[in-house]
Amino acid sequence: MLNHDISRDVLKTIEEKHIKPKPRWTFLLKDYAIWILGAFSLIVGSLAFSVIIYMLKNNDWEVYRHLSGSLPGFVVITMPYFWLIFLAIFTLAVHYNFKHTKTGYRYRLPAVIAASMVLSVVLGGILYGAGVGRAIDDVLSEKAPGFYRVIVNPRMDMWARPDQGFLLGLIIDAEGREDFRLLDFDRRLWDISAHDAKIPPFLKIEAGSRIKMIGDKTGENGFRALIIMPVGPGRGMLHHPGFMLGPGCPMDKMAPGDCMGPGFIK
Amino acid sequence: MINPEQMQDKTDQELVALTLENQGYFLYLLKRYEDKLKRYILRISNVSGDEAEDILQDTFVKVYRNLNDFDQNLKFSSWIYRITHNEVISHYRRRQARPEGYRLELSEELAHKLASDLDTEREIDLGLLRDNLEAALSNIDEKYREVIILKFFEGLDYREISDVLKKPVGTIGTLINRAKNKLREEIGEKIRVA
Repeated sequence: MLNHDISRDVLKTIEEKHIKPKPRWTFLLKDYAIWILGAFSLIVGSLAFSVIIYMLKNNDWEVYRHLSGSLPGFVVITMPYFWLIFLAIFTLAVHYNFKHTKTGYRYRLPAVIAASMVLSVVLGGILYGAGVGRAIDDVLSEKAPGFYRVIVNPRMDMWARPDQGFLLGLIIDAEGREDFRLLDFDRRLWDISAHDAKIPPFLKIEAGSRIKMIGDKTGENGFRALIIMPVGPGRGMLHHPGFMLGPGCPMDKMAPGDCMGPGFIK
Repeated sequence: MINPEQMQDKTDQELVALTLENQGYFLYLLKRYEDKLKRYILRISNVSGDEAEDILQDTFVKVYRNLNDFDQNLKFSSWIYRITHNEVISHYRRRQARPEGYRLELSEELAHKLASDLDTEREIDLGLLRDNLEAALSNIDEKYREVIILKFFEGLDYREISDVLKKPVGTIGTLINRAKNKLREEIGEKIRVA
């Protein structure tokens, strides 16, 4: 057993088969690819975190009692689950890539996950401060309103319950701050009376403003507003071309000719 | 011309660099590890001597092909043990089998060392202890056996074992502690039965 010279045999095999070491650049390329994918995952995770901050900061905390029976219930209903899952996936992607770097195995899973989370929080905070979180939410809600409403931010539907006193939409025309017409999510026109409403001083009540309201339905198309607030996350939906086509026009119609209604895009 | 005597003073890292310029130097690197790795393969597997040689040859060719991937921050020994370890796993994967029935023969010195580390030395006679240790090592879980082999049989430290198995040093420490506990339990059981 084991009585011949393996080392010489191996060297002979290498010479006879003209085996060469793989070029250094192939290994470097793989290393760089792993690091770049890791950095990409970290940046995507940070972008997700900046949207999470934006959504949580504009989560209607001041009116949670109207929207849900309790604060814990409100938190459960309104958590930005889509972005939290997105963040978790990309945090794991950071971990996966880091583990596959040359010395990544030296670090324990909780340490890598914690470091990745801290970096995402710091970078996400900076991106939020630069307005990136809001921009992502605006673009996504404008470009993919159906997906946004169902998957990304289902809480938008909390504001599409006029019978229960919640209404959100776009002001079409306004006669002062007390009386105006509003086009809601489902492209229905409402006559709004805001004589008794609390309206933040900075909020402009004029055509093109996007607002949400708490109040009472007073008729087929009438609504009395008691609290009026600007629309935060999801406001891009009210800029979608399909939405602007007017009452009754499905969101997937993109041009005035696609719709039979009166239309708002001329 | 390569002067064999000069090669003895070269470090592994230096021989790697020289091999990349002239493959003839590779022989001196292989010579350093041939016996050690043969023993290592036989310890972590149940293959025959011929199979162990085949695995070792494949390992050495793989080492040569991947020389440019050798990270100078690692010890060469850790790197070559890692490749050997992976090659043994690949061997079993190809055969769709798992290693069973190990040949872990403990020398007197190794039995002393291991027993003293397990703090069981004083209690029993060395011959009995050695037999029991060998049996216990065959019975414990593979993940525990591999760290025990690397630490006590191959003489690697925690950092080197971490680099071979690609696990954090802390995890290696935990595995070694658990492995020792398992060994103590196994030996205690065997002595009670005896």
